Amino acid sequence: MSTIVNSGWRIGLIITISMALAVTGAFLLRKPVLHIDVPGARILSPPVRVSPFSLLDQRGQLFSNERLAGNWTLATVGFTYCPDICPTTLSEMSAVFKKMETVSGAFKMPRFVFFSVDPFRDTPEVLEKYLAYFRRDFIGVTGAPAAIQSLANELGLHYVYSDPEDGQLVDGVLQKPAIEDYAVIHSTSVVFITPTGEMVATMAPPFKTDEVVSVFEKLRTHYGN
Amino acid sequence: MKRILGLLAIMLFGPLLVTSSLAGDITVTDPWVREAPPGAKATAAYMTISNTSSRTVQLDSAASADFGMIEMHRTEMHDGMAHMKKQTGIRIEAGKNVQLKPGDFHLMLMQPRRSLKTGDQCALQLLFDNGESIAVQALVRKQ
Repeated sequence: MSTIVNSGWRIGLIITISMALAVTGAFLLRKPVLHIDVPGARILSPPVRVSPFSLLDQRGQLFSNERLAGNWTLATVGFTYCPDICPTTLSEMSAVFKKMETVSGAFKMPRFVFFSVDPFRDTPEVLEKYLAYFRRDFIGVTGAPAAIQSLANELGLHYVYSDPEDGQLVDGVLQKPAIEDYAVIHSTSVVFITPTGEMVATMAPPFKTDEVVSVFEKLRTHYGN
Repeated sequence: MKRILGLLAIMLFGPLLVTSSLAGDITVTDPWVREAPPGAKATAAYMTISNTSSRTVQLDSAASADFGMIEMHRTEMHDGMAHMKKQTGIRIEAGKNVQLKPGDFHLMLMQPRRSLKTGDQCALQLLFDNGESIAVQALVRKQ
């Protein structure tokens, strides 16, 4: 009689301990919640997988999804005729990359990609000279208007052409606007894409060096290098 | 005698004339021009314009021997997108100042006539609606 009571008590104890261990284990192994407390930075949940695309880099080489593999990518859209916002963003990002080189340690440096949303004027040759001015390893990408449009849409980076005289918007982005010296209204965010080709976060300007570096460090720690 | 009187008048009032032409209602501080990246067709000039008078003054136009065309623009953000709005003038209220800075008001410098590099000076002439015309030497730099 006493043995039965004893073994029942023992089984209860074993079950309790196992459950406690399972709960503790699950707690210890759980994926920590990613929290970024920087104004203008947003985490995309779920991430956006970048669909296959085919564009050209500033050397006229194919720039497709494979070129996003292996390293993190920070990217934005713009155009070289832009006198104010684009050079500001590119200068800020070159400061960010300079800082990253000093803190990257054992990690791989990300790459920076400037997607032109003005392919009618931004040829690979134009982009090559323009980007090298900010940083030798910055990548400039241009290509067929339809391919640029679909990639930009997917990244949530929008653009439209306008008449700088009166601000009137031009319909469609697949043809060169008839207006001379047309302006491009465009998104100013930088997007973060993992080495496996998933866009996981966006950040709005101004791009303060320490803030961008800290956002990137958190993303890299969370999603891996 | 007339000559002496004339000389005296110049000595007395001359400094006043010089002072009044220098100390206008408008002062411009920290003017700079962004060094244009190679291939860029336009760049921008930035500065702070202060109006010490008791009435609103407007910047009507700007000119420079270094550029064929200068326009006043303002970058405005709507839904995360940067819009460039051409301005017919930049108003500076009485006793206030307006900053021309990246992502905001700026002079858009187009049709460059020479290549300006970091460290160069760019002469700009600013014309205001109160009749003041101010010559500004803007330093060329990267950011």
